[in-house]
Parts: sequence; C-alpha cells; structure tokens
Amino acid sequence: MKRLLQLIMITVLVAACWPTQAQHQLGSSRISGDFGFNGMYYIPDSLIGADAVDSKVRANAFLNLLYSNGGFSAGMRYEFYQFPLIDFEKLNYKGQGIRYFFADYKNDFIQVTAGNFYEQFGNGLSLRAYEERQLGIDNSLLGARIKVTPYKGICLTGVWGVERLNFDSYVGRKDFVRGVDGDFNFGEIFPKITEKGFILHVGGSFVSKFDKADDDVYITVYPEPDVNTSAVIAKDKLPQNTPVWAARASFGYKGFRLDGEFAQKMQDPNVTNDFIYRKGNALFLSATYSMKGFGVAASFIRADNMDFRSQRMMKTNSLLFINNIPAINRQYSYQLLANYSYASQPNSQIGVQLQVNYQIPKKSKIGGKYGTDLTFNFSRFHNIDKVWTPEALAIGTMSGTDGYTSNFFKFGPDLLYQDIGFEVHRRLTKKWELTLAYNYITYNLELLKGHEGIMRGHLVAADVLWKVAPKHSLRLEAQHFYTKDDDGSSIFGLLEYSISPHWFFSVSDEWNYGNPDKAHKLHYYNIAAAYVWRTTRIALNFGKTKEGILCIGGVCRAVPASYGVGLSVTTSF
Amino acid sequence: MKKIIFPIIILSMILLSTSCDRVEGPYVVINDQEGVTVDFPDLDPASVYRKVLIEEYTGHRCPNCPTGHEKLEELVTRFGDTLIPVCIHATSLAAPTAEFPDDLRAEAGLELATDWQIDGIPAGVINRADEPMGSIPARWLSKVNAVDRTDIPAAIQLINQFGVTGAGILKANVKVTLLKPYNGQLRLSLFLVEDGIVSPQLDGTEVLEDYVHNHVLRSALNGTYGIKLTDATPENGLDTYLLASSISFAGTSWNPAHCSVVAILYDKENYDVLQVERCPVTR
Repeated sequence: MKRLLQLIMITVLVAACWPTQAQHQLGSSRISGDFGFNGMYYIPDSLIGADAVDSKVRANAFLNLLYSNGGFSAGMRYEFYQFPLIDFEKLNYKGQGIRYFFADYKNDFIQVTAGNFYEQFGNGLSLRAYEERQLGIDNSLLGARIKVTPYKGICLTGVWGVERLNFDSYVGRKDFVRGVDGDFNFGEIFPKITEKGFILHVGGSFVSKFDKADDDVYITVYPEPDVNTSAVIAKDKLPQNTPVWAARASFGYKGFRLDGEFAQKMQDPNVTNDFIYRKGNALFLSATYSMKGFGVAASFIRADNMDFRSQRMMKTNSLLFINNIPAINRQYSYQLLANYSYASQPNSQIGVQLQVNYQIPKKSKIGGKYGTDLTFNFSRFHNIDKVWTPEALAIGTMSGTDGYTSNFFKFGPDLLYQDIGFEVHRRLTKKWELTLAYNYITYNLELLKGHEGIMRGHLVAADVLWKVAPKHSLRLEAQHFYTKDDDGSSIFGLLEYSISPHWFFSVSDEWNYGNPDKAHKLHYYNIAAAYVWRTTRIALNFGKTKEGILCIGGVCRAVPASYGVGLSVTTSF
Repeated sequence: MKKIIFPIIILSMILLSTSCDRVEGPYVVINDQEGVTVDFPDLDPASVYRKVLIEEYTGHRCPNCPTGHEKLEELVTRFGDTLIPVCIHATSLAAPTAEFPDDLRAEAGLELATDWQIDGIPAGVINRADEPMGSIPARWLSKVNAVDRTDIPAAIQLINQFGVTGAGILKANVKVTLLKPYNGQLRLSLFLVEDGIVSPQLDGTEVLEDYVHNHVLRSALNGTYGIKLTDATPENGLDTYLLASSISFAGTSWNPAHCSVVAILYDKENYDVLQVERCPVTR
C-alpha cells in the first residue's frame, strides 16, 4: 500500500506542477506534449480469477514531447512500462526507454521523416503502422519516409523501416518493410469535378517485407490415416521478400459514396496460415447514401490469407502486423456486449454490414417535439469457402502446399458472428433523453475465443439522461443480456453523475446471475470519480473487472480478471 | 520540374527494392522421403519400458578410460537392454598417433563433446540430463537409478535393412509412438555404433594392443542432433511418426555384423532423453 501511495503522490505532483498553459512558445518555436499515467493496486480475488501478482502496484506511463518550428518538427516519447499493468505484461509489453523519436520537415512540396513514424496506405490493406495504446499495439516503423506532392491532389509516399516489437531491440533484426503509395484526388486536380458535386479518388500501393530465412521449418504431415510424420520446408523454399499490392478508388455524387479497395499478397508461408503458399487477397467495399433524415450504409469485406507480418514465425496477438484488415461490424459501447466483440479474421472472413438510420421528423405525431432517431443494423461474417488442393489432401495437411482453392463470393460453412440490432433514441423534453436498444448476437466461441460452441444472446438496454440543472446531469444505463450459452445471462447497471466541466462520478455493477456455475454468479462492481482541470484529468476507480476481451476496430486483446484500485492521470500542454 | 526529380528518384529506388520472391514447388520434403519400407508390428503399449541412454566420453590414450569401460560393462550387465551405451571417442586423448593409429572419433561425437564441455575423460552423460562436463564413473549408477522408469512417454520401434536398398547401404526404419501427451518439441537422432573393434588402448601406463572397444559411435545417420519431429507440440498425445534414414558402409572399415543403430528421442529444449532403442544392423 505504501508503494501505491508513493506512486499516487508522485503522479499527482507531476500533474500539478506541469505547465498548464497550452503549447509553449519560444520565438517561432513551439513545444507541446502530453503525459499519461495509468496505475493500479491489485487485490487477489480467486473467485473472479484475479490471481496474486508479483508486484501489487503496477503502472503504465509515458511522456510525449513535440518541438516544432515552421515546417520542422521533432519529437520523442518516453515510455515506462517496466512494471506494467498485468494486461500489458501478458502481451510482453514490458520495458522502458525512448521508443519513439523522429525528426520531420515539411513544406508544400515535400515531407521527409527520419526516425519512428506511423503511416497508412488507403484503408490499410497493404500498410497500417499505427498505435493503439489501450491494446498495447505500437507498430511504428523506425526508418525513413518521404512524401511528395508534385501537384495539388497528387501525393506520392515512400517508406522504409523496421517495425517496432514491444521493447525488443532493433539491433540484429533481420526483417524490414518498404513500400510506396500513390494517391490521386481528381477533385483537386480538376476542380470542376468537385464543383459539379462529384468525388473521384484513386490510389495504389505496393508494400514488401523482407524476412531473412535462417531456419528450416518443420511441420507434421499425415501421408496415411492415423500416421504422422515430420516434414521440412527448407529455408531456401521460404520467400524472403513478400509483397502486397493494393488498388483503391472512391466515387461520390451528392449524398452517394462508393469506396473500394482490393489487395493481393504474394507467397507468404507463415505460422498463422499454416505455412501455405497460396496468394492472399482482400476486398473491401463500402456504399453509403444519405439525405435529410435518412441514411444507409452497406459494407462488404472478404479476407483470404491476408495476415501480413514482418516475421513469418510471429503469431502473438497483433504483434508485427504490417497491414490491417478492418472489422466492419457496428461497434458498441454496451458493457455486456464487450465480451462478444467481433475480432477481425485476416486469414479467413467474408461478411456484410448494413446500417439504416431514419429520423422520424420533429414535431410530428410519432416523432415528438425533438424527433426520434431509429437505427437498424445487421452484420454477418463467415469464414471463407475452402477446398483443399490435391497436394494438401495427399499429405493430409495444407502446410507446405498451396493449401486450398476458394470460391470468391461463397460464404464458408462456419458462422463467425452475426448481429441484428435496433436502436431508438429520443429526446423527450429539454431535460430528458432516452435510448432503447435491442441486439441479437450470434458469436462463434470456438473460432473467435478458442472456447467450445456458439453463443446466442439477446441484449436489451436503456440509457436515460437527465439534465438535473445547468452543468449537472445524471445518466442511468441498464442492460440485460440473456443467453443460455457460455457464462450465461448478466445484468448491468450504471449511474453516472457529471458536474460539467470538472467532476464526474459513477457507480456500476455487472451481475453474472445466469452463470451455470453457482460459485461464479458474481458481481463485478466499480466506483469511479474523475476531476478535470484545464487539460489535466485525474481519475480514481475501485472495483472488479471480468476476464474477457477488449476490441477496438476489430483488433482485440485478452483482458485478465482484476480487482483493485486504479489511478489514471492524463495531461497535455 | 527539377525539384521533383530527386524525390522521384528516391521513390523509384524504394519501388525497385520492393522485390518479390517466387518459390516454385514442391515446397515440402517429407522426412521419410526414402519411404519406410518395412511393416512395423502392432505396438502393445503395456510391453514398452523406459530405456536409458548412457554416453561415455572416452579416448584410446586416456589412462583411466579402461576403468570407465569396466564400469560401463558392469552397468550393462546389471540393467540388461534397458541401458543403452554409446562410447564417444573425443578430446585430445582420442586423437590418433603413431602408437594409436586408429581414429575412433566421429564428427558427431566431437560436436557433442564440445557442446557438453567434455574436458576430462572418462565422463558419462546419462539421458543428457546430466550437468555439463559429464560425471565420473563412480556416479553413473546413481544417475541411472535417478531416471524415473515408471514414466514412459514414448515407444520407438526400429527395423534395420542392410543391403536391401543398395549394396553396403544401411537403412534404418523408425516408428515413434507417443504414449501420452507431451508438452514439448521432440527430435530423433539415429547413431551407428560398433562393437568388437580391436585397437590399442592405454591403461594406466601400459598399452593394451588388442583391446576390444565396444559401443563406439561411428556416425550419425541424420546429423548430430537428428531431426525435429515437429515444430509444434503434437495436439494428439498418441501421435505416431514414421521416418527412415540411410547410410553407406562403402569405403569404411565398419563391420555390419558388429554394428547397431541407436535411436534417441529427446526434448528439443532441454535435451532430456525420453526414450532410446538399439537394434543390430544385421540379425
């Protein structure tokens, strides 16, 4: 407890002493940055599966500093994850040091960057170097980037670098990434296109990884029923240079917009695809139409063997991903759906997403004084269709062969995820707002979580906001998730009181009352308070977190069960 | 226009460097590509017992090594076929000289001696779980006894064919059956050993001209550390692996009638020997 108090005091002091006026000016130079601290005192609780940890007090902390002067900027981030929160320790995101630094020069024509940088080509099917701190993902590239804008609306980008791997050293790495991208916005090149209400945008990228093949790969083959033997893929049969090319286009006219990108990956036998030599591909399509009071958005995605990483033997969570296959399903903030979030499957998924929004007009009989928003959502994802090649059948495994053939638009036999949802939002009076939601979720536990079976569940949720007084509001969230599968049904309640803009208090409880194991019909309660002062936010919470998964944009990580007191401080300057 | 030349050159260089390797099939080589050419009898798991490997590091100019050989033979007599010896001639005391002209060293044995940091001989390594540098003969019995023989993780069936696939060719056919789930990665080594080699041996200060060397490691059929059975832990604990390796006796002094193949199944990470088997080249 002593250590926790020390940590809290240090953090509060840092936050309090931090210069609070935004962005310091030194002549034409400017220094800015932000600091974050997220600590926790862990209390063991064997019932929820929160094991005793070596060090009870743990924290993640970082400091970003950015210097800029005209077109020049330079920055660094110091990270202290030496004794990280247990979620991050499980990801092996552990260590400390300056893991992000760069210098950048930019003018109207050119931008050059040396050091670490993030970059995305198109929708990320070929390259997405990004940071998602909550997930412990930092796929920044250490190297160089050049961007050229030879003409308004044309941007050419080249990157060359080594991908970050947690706190591991870059020294001795035998893999790197390089790529180019061209982006052409015809609306800017030919302004008349824009004037007539059209959007026309095309682009293309080519990204290649080099991963030195030092070792043979051993696999198990099954030449006869019930008989296994080992086999080897010699290192000279492992491609060291694997590229992905992608082409994209966007077209829009008034309220209509159509976006699409297709990518293809060349031979990339790796541990995630069981060392098959088949080319990978991905197609992403999105169409939206909106007019006053009505909007519809439909998306389609198919990904086949598109797990593209810097190292062929890497299979851990999201480490060393070069690209990103997005999850296109609707993202929810409902606590009870969090455990059944869909995780994008880059090697095998095909699915659709449809969302329709309609606003019943204001001051109508049904719409009421302020109007009523209706949202309907449907998404369904399957694995892809696969027919084993004769070579794969002969040795009883796809490994070491082209693997399979696949009918491009045929859905595979396994349903991964389905969501049918309906939401009504209505402002009742000046002081009251109400949201009601219903979702029917089907979730493949085996393929998405490694458990057995399919989970089918119904969620009913209500969200009521009451503006008690100017700057004071009270929010009540009630959810009920009914299922006979997995951990059974749960109920969740949250009460949140805000005094804008400084104070925030909440109390919540999740009760897994339907757990088939009586001993696990548990409460996961949480009490939290936060104070915001200018750009600084200090938050304290106490409670239990259920073991599960955390997904952001279809990228997920496991969340271990925990119980304890948490302190979070963020500030920017 | 001039200002775009330099960036375009750099972008072009990046584009040119983004190369693509295209590998032609077949991509995979099955380890028993020679094909197992025998039928293995059905395995009765109840009849399998745990055997122990003892690797004795020795040398013909080592004055104390005959004592080690005696100790080894004493243990072999005591444990019968459940103790399988391999004598590895290594260190400078195994190098041939005018007085000791025969070279009983094998490339695989020298590599093992280096890796096990064998300095003084005689030294014994039991089931490869021993500490570096091996142990002295007086400790071998206790180390053999320390092996838990009630734990029988796997069975090895070994059938040799000599002269069948070609003149002077030995082909060892092996079937490994895991008898219970094993959480680790496995390798299999095949050693050729020879008994009854008559060659001088120093014993104290005396040279024994007609000394009979037994269990002498002659060669490894599939490399010093053999082959990995799989890169991944088998999902099914009762996995079976078939493989075959060949070696030619042409141009060697090896006597097939005195030779045996020793098959060693061990953990890739800690080298612990899970099972070992020995089978004569000719019956």
